[in-house]
Amino acid sequence: MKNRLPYIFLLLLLHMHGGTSAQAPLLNSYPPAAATVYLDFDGATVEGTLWNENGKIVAEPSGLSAATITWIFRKIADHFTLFNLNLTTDPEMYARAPIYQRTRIIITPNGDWYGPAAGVSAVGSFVWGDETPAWVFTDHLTNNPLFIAAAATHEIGHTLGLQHQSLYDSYGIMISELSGGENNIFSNEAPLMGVPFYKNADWIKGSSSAGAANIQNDTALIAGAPNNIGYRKNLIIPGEGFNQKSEAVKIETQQPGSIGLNSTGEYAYRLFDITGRLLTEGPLRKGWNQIQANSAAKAVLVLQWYSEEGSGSQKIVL
Amino acid sequence: MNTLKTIICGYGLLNSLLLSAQDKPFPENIPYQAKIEVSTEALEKLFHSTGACKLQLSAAFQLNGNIQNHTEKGPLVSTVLVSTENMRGAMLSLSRSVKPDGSIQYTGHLLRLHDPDGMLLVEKDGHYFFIRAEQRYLVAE
Repeated sequence: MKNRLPYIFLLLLLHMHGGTSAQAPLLNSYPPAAATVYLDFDGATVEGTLWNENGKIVAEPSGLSAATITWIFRKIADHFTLFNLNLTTDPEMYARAPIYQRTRIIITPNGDWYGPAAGVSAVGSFVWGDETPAWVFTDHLTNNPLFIAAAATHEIGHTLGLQHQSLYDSYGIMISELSGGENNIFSNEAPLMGVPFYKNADWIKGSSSAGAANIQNDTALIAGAPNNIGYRKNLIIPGEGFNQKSEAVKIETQQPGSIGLNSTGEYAYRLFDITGRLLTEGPLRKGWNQIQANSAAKAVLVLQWYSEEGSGSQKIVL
Repeated sequence: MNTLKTIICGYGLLNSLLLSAQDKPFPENIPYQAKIEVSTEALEKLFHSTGACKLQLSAAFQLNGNIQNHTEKGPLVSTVLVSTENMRGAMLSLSRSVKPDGSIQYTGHLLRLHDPDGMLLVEKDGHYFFIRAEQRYLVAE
C-alpha cells in the first residue's frame, strides 16, 4: 500500500489538473441582440434531426476548462462584433431567442458518427426553426483552442447560409474548394469560410464554391435576408432603447454597486458586464426596483429584461 | 483460350455494371424531375401520422418510412422527422410554422449524409416543390 501511495497521489493530482470538464461559464457577446448562436460546450443528446440517420447521438461535453472555453468564446465572438448577433454559452439565452434566428453549435470531442471532419453544418439552418444543430469535433482539431475557435466560426458561417470561399485558376477552374488565401502569397490572411487555421482569418468577398463568378460577400450575407440580423448600432444611449419593450424599464439612478429603476410591468432581468459575463439576475416587479450590481466602482453594464410579452435592454455606465 | 478469357472478362464486367446500376445512391433511385410538386394536403398528413407511413406525396413521389419523432416547438412550429425505407434511409425533415399573418409555411429537406445530392422543399407562388440540390450546398464541413 505504501508503494502505491505516490501513484494515488499522482492520479489525484492529474485529476485535479485535468478536472477540465467544468460546466461552461455563462458568456454573452452581445446580449441586446435577439438573434443568437449558442456555443454548447456541455454535451448534448440530439434526436430528431437530419443528423440522426442512425438514431440518437449522445455528444459528450467538450472537456475543456472554463478558461479555455472563455478564450475560445472570445476568439469566436471577435469575428461577430460587426453584427447584431449574440453569441452565448447560456442555454437559457438560446431558449429565449426567436426560433427562426438561432442556432446551436455543439462542440464535442468525438465525431465518429459523422466521419473524418472537423465539423459539419446544415447550410442556412439558422433560420430553419427546427433545432438542427451544427457540430465541431475537437478531437479532429487536436483539441487546439485556436483551431476549435476557427472551426466553430466557420460552422456558424455555414448555418448563416455561407458557402465555402474557394480558389480558382485564371480559367475559372476550381483548384481547391477551400481557399487558404493562396491567391496572395504575400498576405497573411485567409477566408474564414476557407481554411481559417493557419493565417489571420476574416470574412471576405470572394469566389464561392458555387463558381468563380459567384462572388460571396460574407458579411452582407450574414447580416441580410433571410437571417435579417443586421449590424450593431455603434452607440447605445442610456434611456434610448432599441426594441419594442425599451420603454418598459426606466433607469433612474446609476451608482457604483447599485442601480435604481422603474418598471412598468413584471419582468425578469439579467445584468451583464461589458464582456457578456452574467453578474446577476432576478425578477423585476412593477414600480421601483433596486439592483445590486456587485461590480467594480466604474463599469459599463448591460441590463436586459424580458417576459412573455417581449424584451429590452440598455447599456448602463456606472 | 484467349477468346474464352475475353468472354469471361466481358461477362464479369457486364455483371458488375448491372449490379452497380441497381445500387445507385439516393436520390438516383427515386423518380427524378427538375422539380416534383407536392400538395400541402400530403405534407399536412405527415404531421398527423405516427409509426410507419406510406404516403403518395405526388404522382411521382411515394414515401415509405417511419416517423422518428414529431416535435412541437411552441404553439407555432412543429417538425416531423421521417426515416425513409424506399430511399435508402434518407431522412425527411419537415417543419410547419404559422406565420404572423396566420398562413402556414412548410420547409424541409430530404438528405442522406455523404451522398452527392439531396432534395430541398421550396415554395413558389403557394406551390411546394422538392428540388434536387448538390448536397455540398446543403450540408457543409
